[in-house]
Amino acid sequence: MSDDPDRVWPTGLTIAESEDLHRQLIDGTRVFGAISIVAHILTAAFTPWLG
Amino acid sequence: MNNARIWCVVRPTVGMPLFLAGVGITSLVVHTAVLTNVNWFGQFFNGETMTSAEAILPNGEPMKSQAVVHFNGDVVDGKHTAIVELEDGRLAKVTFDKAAPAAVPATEMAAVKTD
Repeated sequence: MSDDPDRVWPTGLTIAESEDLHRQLIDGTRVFGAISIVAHILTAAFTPWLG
Repeated sequence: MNNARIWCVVRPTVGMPLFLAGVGITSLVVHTAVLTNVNWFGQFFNGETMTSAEAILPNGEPMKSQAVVHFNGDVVDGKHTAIVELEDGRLAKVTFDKAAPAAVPATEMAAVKTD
């Protein structure tokens, strides 16, 4: 593993692996954000929040 | 992809929990701050109707403060009485001006308008 020239240290991930990981993180953030936007719209509509 | 190479420097086993914990803690702090400063969240947990700080009166004007009427159908000298509780905890005992109809149960009387 340590002799793979594509691996970047200190973590030892390749750039492709780090980009894949980052894509998953961003997708998860987008799903979380979409659910939270819907939840906040429902909260604003059905509670006295925001007047 | 922007910033993807951070995972070549920061171990995912460290960075991912830090990121998720940061989101979770921030969300918890903000929601706690909001919900401890609104008056309707306790009402919701008590099964009551949620009212905002400035409820709207039937004539369209905002209600400056709120009072709770405790009406149990008690009758004194033939007239219904109730306890009015102001927001600051002060109590008042009110007597309705007309004699209580004997056949009307208390739950229905609570909805009767008094002039």
